[in-house]
Amino acid sequence: MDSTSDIDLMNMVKNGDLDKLGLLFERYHRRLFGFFYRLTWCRDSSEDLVQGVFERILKYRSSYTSNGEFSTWIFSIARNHYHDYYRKNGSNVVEPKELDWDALPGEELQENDQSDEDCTQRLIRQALQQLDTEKRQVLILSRFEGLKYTEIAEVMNCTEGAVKVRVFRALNELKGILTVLKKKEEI
Amino acid sequence: MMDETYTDLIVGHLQGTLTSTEEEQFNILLENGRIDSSELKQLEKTYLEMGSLEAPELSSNSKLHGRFYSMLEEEKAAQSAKVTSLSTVWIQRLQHGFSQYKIGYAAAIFIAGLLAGNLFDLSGSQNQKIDNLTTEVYQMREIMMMTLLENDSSSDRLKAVNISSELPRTDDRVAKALLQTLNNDPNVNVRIAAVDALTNHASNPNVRSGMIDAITQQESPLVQIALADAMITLQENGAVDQFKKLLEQDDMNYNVRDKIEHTILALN
Repeated sequence: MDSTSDIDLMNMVKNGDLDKLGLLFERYHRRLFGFFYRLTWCRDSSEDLVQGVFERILKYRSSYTSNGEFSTWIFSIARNHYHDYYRKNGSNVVEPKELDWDALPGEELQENDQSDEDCTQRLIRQALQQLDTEKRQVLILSRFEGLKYTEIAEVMNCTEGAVKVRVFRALNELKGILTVLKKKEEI
Repeated sequence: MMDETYTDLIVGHLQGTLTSTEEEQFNILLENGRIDSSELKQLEKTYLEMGSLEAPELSSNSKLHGRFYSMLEEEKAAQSAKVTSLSTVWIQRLQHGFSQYKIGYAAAIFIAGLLAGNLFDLSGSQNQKIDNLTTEVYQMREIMMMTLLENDSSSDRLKAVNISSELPRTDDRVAKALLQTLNNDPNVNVRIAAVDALTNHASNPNVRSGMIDAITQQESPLVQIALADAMITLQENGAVDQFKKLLEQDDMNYNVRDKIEHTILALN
């Protein structure tokens, strides 16, 4: 598939061949955007966050070690950057949980003429946002980014067993929230 | 809520990663009710519904590419400045610290190393890998160039044109983008840079004809002169008619008129 592995490319970046970061950007920016977008539901913040990840990679390229999968490494940076971003920007950024779902415009939500599928998607998004950040992240990484539990354990700096418990708890909580939201919708 | 006794099995079942032994164990627990089947069904439903969430796409007016490649270009410029200053220091140190004899000795070892390296030819798969990587780098540079060309900032567009000069070949997409820049960019410096870049890719016939067509569309004297110089460099006598048309303009700058008359003479 890839002509050169991500790790090879990152080692080239580390050794001064900065153009290779462009290839890594092309390979990863969509996945990172998806990760951040599902955490924030905000395009601008998600783009800022993706840019921030690559700024960090450039800044700390000399400290890169080829241990483990590159995807694990980049998602660890993404996760740390997300936490710093919200800590630094504080009250200037709307936390996902505080979003007013009914007020979101355009493509995000269209109350009128919704199919069942649109409605389910909206409820899942609302339910996901009611989970705490860790639970949301673990679900996004496993369900949408396709990372293995061992890889998520590396990203989250915990054991594989702990990841499985977090996924299990997050799913159970999501299921509970969805049930409540669906009931509200029916009323 | 389900209890957490069989978390590993349930989570593995949902992700489809159970081994056949684990799957067997899971089914037994399900049959004897240790794992609640209705709770499991709801959990499966939630897991499936999550999958229905559409993948978010970058919007068409996203500035992410532009921002990234600008940052990369800045970092590259900073890096090369650093390397230049370091190499200057290194050369100065060499001049002070080593005799010519030592430098010659080091150079001989270096050349011997290169010759020895040539003896060990790369295997086919490695060559294939390198070819693929070269193509990927070319495509990446092309994307970078196209993205920067669309930026509002003229310095970014200038960077884009310079990147195009680094491309080993010009496909029609790049040629078209550069010609559009030459004909439509509001900034004179960007248009002049586009002339230089196009000159480097004049082996492409579309580039040559596009440059000739652009002659009469230019109003800036500086761009007209740049095009005249380019046509002399390329010895493109097909441009003579266009230059003659340009001379028909009454309000032409005197210096430009002089330059173009000389160009026509040089091309004839």
